[in-house]
Amino acid sequence: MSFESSNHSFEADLNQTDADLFWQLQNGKTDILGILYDRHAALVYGIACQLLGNTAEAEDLTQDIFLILTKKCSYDPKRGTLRIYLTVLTRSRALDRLRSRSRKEQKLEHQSLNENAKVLSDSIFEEIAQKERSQEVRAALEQLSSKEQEVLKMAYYQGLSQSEIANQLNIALGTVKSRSRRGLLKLRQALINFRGEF
Amino acid sequence: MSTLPPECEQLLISGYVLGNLSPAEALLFEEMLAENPDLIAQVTAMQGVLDLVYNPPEISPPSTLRDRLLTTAKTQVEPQKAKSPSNIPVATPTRLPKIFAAIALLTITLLSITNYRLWRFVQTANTAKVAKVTNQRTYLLEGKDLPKTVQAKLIVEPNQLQATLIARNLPSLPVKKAYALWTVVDKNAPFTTDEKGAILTAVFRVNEAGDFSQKIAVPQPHLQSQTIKKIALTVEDISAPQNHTGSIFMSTADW
Repeated sequence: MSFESSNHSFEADLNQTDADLFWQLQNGKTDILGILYDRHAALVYGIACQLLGNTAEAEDLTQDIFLILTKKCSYDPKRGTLRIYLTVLTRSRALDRLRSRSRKEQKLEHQSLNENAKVLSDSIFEEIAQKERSQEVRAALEQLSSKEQEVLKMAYYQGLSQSEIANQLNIALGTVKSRSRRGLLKLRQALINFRGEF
Repeated sequence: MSTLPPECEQLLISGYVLGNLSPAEALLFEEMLAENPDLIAQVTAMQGVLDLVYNPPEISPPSTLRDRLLTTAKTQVEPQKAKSPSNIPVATPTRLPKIFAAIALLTITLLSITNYRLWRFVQTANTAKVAKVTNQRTYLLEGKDLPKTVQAKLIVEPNQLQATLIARNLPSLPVKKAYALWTVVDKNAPFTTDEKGAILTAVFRVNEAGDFSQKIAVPQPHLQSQTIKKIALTVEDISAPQNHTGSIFMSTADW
């Protein structure tokens, strides 16, 4: 059965914000999922493909991520965009799968899980980062202190929550937030300086 | 209407894009968006920066995935709808007495549950009412050598991280100045503060009569009032109140 067969106006839905659609989805309007999927599937699937390197597994993860939105989940539209939530959640879940894969592969070598996962994760992050960044972006990133870069990388690439970052770096939660926010502001300013926009 | 300095506003937008606003900040941001819908454009621009720097290229998934996902989502919802009347088997004459008995038993059980829930609801409502009253915390601010008519108080509802700020008969300020309300916390408390241990809580100007009254969001320390050392009011440059250069105009006594 097609989900488009329900009574409400899809044209109206298409003009709604992600937050509005999310609340409707949470209230049981499952057909809304199709619109959110159309808006963000390429982002989720792109991250999944890049980290997992396997299309079948990426499809599986993409489905899992969108199904999470239909259940009670931790996303609060008042505190951030759906896009960042999906980005961080997808990275986090993809890394869980990689760690699990790594654990299986490395079991015979008796290396510690954390060490393996960290080496694996770090190498992936660096590889992705190098590929993605243009010279302009690299120059903008250089405007940030190493601590600001570190926090943004942990939040965005490693899919860690703010409190996990605070624990790992042994700094206050407020410091994590202020560093990441100031880092993003500096990036914007640097890109404005280079491009004259943003 | 509270006026946030541009830098604070930008930091809030940044926090929203990064998804790390606290509940109080989220409330403040919501108010800002309601007052100024143009902020959405800035959110989009900030999102663009994050995407440019950190995002991987987007890849369209196979078209079959969409159908598969929607079918799975629908089947997950189906079990909840399964107990529709059409699913109840048709009663045959020989089964009627048992069915009536079952219906009667079910009705009694439902009524008992409803009754119990109603009783619980009344109990909870009463408890909530008491809790609301007892949780509310009022801070009276005083100033040295000020007439008694000059008053400021902050009535905080900690659970909501909201407060009502009321000021009466405060002196009018020059155009480029504003009052800044600070939440000052213990040095050892795990919150990010400025060098004076203070968190900027509100920035406002009074009307011609020297009055101001508005609901504001308050920072996290108000969830644990024992970490709050004092509430203070200073006069700051309206363009950069966060610099916290003014001396205390009014404050609560140290806790």
